[in-house]
Amino acid sequence: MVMGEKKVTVALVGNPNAGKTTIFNNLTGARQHVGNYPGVTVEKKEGYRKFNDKEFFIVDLPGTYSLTAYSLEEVITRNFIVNDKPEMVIDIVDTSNLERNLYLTVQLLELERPAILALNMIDVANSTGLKIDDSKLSKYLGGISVIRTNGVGNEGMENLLESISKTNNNRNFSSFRLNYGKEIEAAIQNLEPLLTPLYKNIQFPTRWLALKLLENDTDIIESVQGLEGAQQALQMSNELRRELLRELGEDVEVFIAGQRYQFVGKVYQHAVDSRNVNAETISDKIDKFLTNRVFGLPIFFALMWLVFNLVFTLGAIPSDMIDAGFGAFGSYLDGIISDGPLKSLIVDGVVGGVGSVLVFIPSILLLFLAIAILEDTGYMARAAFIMDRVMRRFGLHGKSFIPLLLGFGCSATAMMGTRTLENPRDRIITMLVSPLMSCSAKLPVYTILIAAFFEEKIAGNVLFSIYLLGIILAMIMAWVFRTTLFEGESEPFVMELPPYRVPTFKSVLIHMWERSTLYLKKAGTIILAASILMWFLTTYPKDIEYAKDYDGLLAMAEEAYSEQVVKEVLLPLSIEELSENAKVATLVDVIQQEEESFLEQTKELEESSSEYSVLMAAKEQKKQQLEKENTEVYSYAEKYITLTQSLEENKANIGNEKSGENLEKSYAGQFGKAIEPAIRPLGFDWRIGISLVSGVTAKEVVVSTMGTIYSIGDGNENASSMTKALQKDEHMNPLVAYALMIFVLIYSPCLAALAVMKRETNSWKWPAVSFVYSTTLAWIVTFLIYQGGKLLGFGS
Amino acid sequence: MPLACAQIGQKCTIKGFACSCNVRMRMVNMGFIPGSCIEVMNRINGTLVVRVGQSRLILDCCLATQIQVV
Repeated sequence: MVMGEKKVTVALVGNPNAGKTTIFNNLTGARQHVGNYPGVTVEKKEGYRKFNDKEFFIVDLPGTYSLTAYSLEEVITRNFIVNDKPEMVIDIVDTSNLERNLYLTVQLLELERPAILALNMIDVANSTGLKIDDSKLSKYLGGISVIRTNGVGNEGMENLLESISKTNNNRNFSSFRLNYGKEIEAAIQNLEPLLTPLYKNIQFPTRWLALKLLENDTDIIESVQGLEGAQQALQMSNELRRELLRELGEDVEVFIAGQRYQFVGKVYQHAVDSRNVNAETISDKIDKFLTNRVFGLPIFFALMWLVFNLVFTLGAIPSDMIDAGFGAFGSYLDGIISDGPLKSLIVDGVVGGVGSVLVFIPSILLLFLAIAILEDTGYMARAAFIMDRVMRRFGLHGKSFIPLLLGFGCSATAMMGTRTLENPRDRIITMLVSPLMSCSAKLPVYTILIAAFFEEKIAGNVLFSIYLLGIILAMIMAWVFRTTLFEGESEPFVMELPPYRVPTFKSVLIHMWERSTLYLKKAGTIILAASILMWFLTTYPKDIEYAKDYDGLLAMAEEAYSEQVVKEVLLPLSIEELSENAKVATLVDVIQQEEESFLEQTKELEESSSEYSVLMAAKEQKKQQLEKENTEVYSYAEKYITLTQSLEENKANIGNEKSGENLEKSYAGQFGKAIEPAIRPLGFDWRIGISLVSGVTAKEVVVSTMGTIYSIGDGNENASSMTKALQKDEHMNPLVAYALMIFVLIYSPCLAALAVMKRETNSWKWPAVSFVYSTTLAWIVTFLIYQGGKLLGFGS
Repeated sequence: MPLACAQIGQKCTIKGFACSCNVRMRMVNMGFIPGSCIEVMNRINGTLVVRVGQSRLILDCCLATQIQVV
């Protein structure tokens, strides 16, 4: 902000789904910041906008239906308006549902701050035939400015900013005052004189304060209790409440709410013409199909299946490109950096570790995009409705469905999504089971193991079985928690069903980006740090005592090779070096090039495929042609190539053995050996143990650690080379692979998820419970699957 | 009768609540005012979608049994 510019604080208030955030995004663009209100887990969004000669500081307050004290969002909204004293409050209403939205407007006006009414979604209201008389509306609401907006179409923003400037300059508070009937008004008149002296300590308007005391507002009573002179007011308000209960025949707060609704009804009658509005909306018509009693659930499952299939199919295309890119980058760095610890750190640690994880970002972004579309269209609320009864059977809340669905993207995001659950018990249960929804971080582990050990035709079923097991375990554990640790009634489920909307590209992208940033930050921080740490632990100590003389073995292999080449190739040709016979040397080059070309063309093909057969036939034909043209020297060239290939294989095996011993005697290897007895009953060895321990930092790191462990002299860290390395490991087989996937599915949530859980529950207790129960459950289930599989003859 | 017993398409008037103060006020704040009209629009396994004014709201079956209507 430039010196001399006036800063105007503007608060955006409104019902959930009224379009506040869309308008906030329109007004602030990229100049926004998301955080939390101090001490609570309610999101706080702030941003800036310059208009004319002013800087507007815009605060997007939580969506709320009223300003009572029954939820954190309500208390935060009214406290912000009273304590922070924004220069302007913009009440954003969904014009197509005006009557219910005006209930909040009436309460806002009673807080006596300058306000503007933004009739948002005016396009939707117009399309239904609704006609609003803005001037009458303004008149009934104490002269408040009324501005028409269409947040989705970014219309009316300039008018809104203009109105903020004018109203701010004029300091024109609305002269609104709702008459609650003679009994309540008399009670307010009796209370107000006692409350006026408290104003210097608690700056709520006295009339509003009197109303809150009569409503028995616990938050206000708590704020007022300790103040000097408050006892008399509190005593009087209690007496007045008892009298009013007798006179009115119902609770004071219900009566007051009823009076507000009556007033709003009158305003609506006079200012709105709804004669042409159909009772049955387009959303109602769509819901007849999508939330049909018989077809609703099957349609929901079909939609979920479609979403997941599209995400993983479309995501595979850019993933393959990223995979190839990192492979090429790793090879390039391998060529330009001189050998040493730095090269090893960069190529094996950073590129190998982080690269194997970034490959899956396209699928993750697509999943969050799909979830954002489902939310912005309004279908997610329908899904919660359809799934409510199913969730309740397992002790979960209907609203738990949405965070659990988010869990398929990221557990940490799912835990943040539990903020919509008011009851702490429901929140904690949902947080404890959401990591069992197989998050996208675990997908790299499944993809690589399935590619290595399962045929393509059953790969989809194997993956589906993992996801399904996760869902089943989540339901079972939710029921267990509900009936043991969290006995008691669940919070009632009441939720607004928003109308279906065509989501805008911009809002969907923003929505997707907000969820994805947590995952992307994780890649750049935790995963990078974990990859570097794992590189260090698997590379050091360097000065180990080898069981064999590997250098000696290499020298012997070279010597044996040289002797055989002399004996079987050079002597028969009467030469001392291959280059002395140009024909043989050229033939060796040609045969090697043909072989390399064949391998390049067939590396992605199945041996049983027709393309492979065609290429093989072409190769054989070329070989026969070369043999015919070079009869006298062909056999020697072939022999030379065979001996050279044999030497390379020998050297590679010796190198692998040496690297394997390096790893076994590294810090990580020593730790893996120490925990191996605990995981051997699950079919795991010390290398898998290291990978699983590293996976506590972030599940993707299981893959990057396996990449480091199986890199074994190969500078190319891409997924296909890891698949081949896994297949060569004689300890690994389909049963062990499946057991490993199950363990990864169930065991401890990642560090990011545990950190979010700690923040959301304000305690280390629940992250500790989550870690212990999930790891124990993982051990038990994996043990049953592995041992059961062995008994049935799998895995041999 | 409890709202849970109303049929799909049936319009009723809210008479009162048989629930805690907390829950009652939450319902009131969402538009469930004694005397207001409520219409049952859909039901899946006991969970209801109801229309109150221009709003469509989801209610679980437990809550629906605590709302008295005529």
